[in-house]
Amino acid sequence: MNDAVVVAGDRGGNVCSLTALEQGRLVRAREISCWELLQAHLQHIDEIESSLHTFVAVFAEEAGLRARRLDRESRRDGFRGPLHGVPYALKDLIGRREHSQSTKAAPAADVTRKLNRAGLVLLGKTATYELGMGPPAESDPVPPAQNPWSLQHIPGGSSSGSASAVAAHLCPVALGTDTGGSVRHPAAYCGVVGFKPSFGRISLEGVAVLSPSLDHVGILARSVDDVALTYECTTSSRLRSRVAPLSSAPNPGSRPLEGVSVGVPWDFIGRGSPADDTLATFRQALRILADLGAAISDTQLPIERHEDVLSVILLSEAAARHAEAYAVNPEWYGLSFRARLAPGFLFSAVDYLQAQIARRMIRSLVDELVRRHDVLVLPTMPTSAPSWAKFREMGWDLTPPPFTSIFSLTGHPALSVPVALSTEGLPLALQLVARRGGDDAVLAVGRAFEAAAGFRGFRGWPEAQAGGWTAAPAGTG
Amino acid sequence: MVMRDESVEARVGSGGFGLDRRVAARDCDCSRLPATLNVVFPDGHPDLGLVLGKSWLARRMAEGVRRAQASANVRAEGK
Repeated sequence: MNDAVVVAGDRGGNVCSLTALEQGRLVRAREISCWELLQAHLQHIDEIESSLHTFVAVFAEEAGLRARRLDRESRRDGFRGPLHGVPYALKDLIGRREHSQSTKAAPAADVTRKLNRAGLVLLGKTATYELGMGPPAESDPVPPAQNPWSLQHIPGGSSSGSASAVAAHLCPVALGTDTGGSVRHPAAYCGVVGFKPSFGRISLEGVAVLSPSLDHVGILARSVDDVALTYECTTSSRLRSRVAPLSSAPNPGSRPLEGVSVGVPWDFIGRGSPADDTLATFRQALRILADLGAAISDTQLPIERHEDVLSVILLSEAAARHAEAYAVNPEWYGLSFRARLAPGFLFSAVDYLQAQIARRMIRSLVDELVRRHDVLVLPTMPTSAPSWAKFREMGWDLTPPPFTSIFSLTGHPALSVPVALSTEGLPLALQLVARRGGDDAVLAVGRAFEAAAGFRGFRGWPEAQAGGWTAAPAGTG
Repeated sequence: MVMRDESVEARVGSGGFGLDRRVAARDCDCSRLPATLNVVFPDGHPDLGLVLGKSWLARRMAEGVRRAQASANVRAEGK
């Protein structure tokens, strides 16, 4: 693959591999125009999109017009902000005005309007599973996105297209949605940063909601700074970092986490059966945090079967949301989606209310832990990305990932940051969690960790990749 | 839906996948299926094996909720 996209003003570098912040700096320094930056990404998409299936739609013409407009505006009125002219993508559950394949009909989302106001350029819509409920199936209207690290391994989901696009440098920032881990899960598997803010921090208006009490809009990018800047654009408020301002980098050898208390729920981690290399990488991450000055201590989170609590709530709410449309227009829905949703029609009101009671109890326990610790840390996923073949052997398991789903259930902010590669050469990630509303704290600690961990993101295209996804037998899942 | 024989549940207890549909069709009383399920499956005709498996899955999840509550209670009492 020709990974180098050279445009006027790029000075021979690969502008697509830069972070959003770096791209924005080039634009503001007038070393590259918004239009040139967009063209570089479109060219890169042309080169590799057919292998990755990350986008369900690319708005080349519309984005080009907007980039030209932003260039004219910057000459006349200056720049809108640090991300002026930076391309971004939306998971195909987040509205931008017109009809879309996964959502059936999608009005402009509140978050889309905010990013557009901040001067970002919408590049396209990224692949997901039907209505965000995975795994992929034969009846899905679009093929599933691939993991750029290895086409033989799954990208995670359901914000798989967003994670894959960011990892493969097709865009520096993308939005996803997270109901049980659907931002952090693919972020971890694809080696990018994934952030699920506190519940309700980013509006769900204009988003194709699966479960109103669980869904979060989240952000995927190649650096914590990019996530934080994008998050500021979506919430219209400045973050107040307790560790370091976002505009400055930590000094080498400094201890920016001095005095920060980090809790490790080893009992909970053990119940998720992490792989050996996941545990080794997690211990490496703890050493990095300790070297940064953090006080690491063991803590306990003795919750069992929280995945079932999430599933009962998710499936009940999704069934309620879609019941009427099912009855009138069942052909709107893919067969696999119908089968996945079926248990939602079988729960009683008592089941749902019991699940909500369990959820409040679990949330109270996590609240108590994050009162005692500034952040909790745990692996984002128990393993690196499984192969497509193994994934099928596992029966297209629908159980939500244990380490991410608990914080979707409780609404605490959670950030996934890549740490290192597994023995198979696939990314492994650390998850940081803070008190509800403590989004700035989790981003600040994540930023210090990221700088010290020095993870090198995806740099090249693996050669001769074949044997990736093929459709599952009808009726599974 | 009424499961006439609890042993059916054990036989389809693989998580709702790979069901023995012949067994499911014989042992499952579909007269009380929720009406919405009739449109979940193709042409309004439920796949009995799949419905039975999903029913088992739903019951297992609801039991899991009780387990989650119990684990949280133990913790609360231990504080």
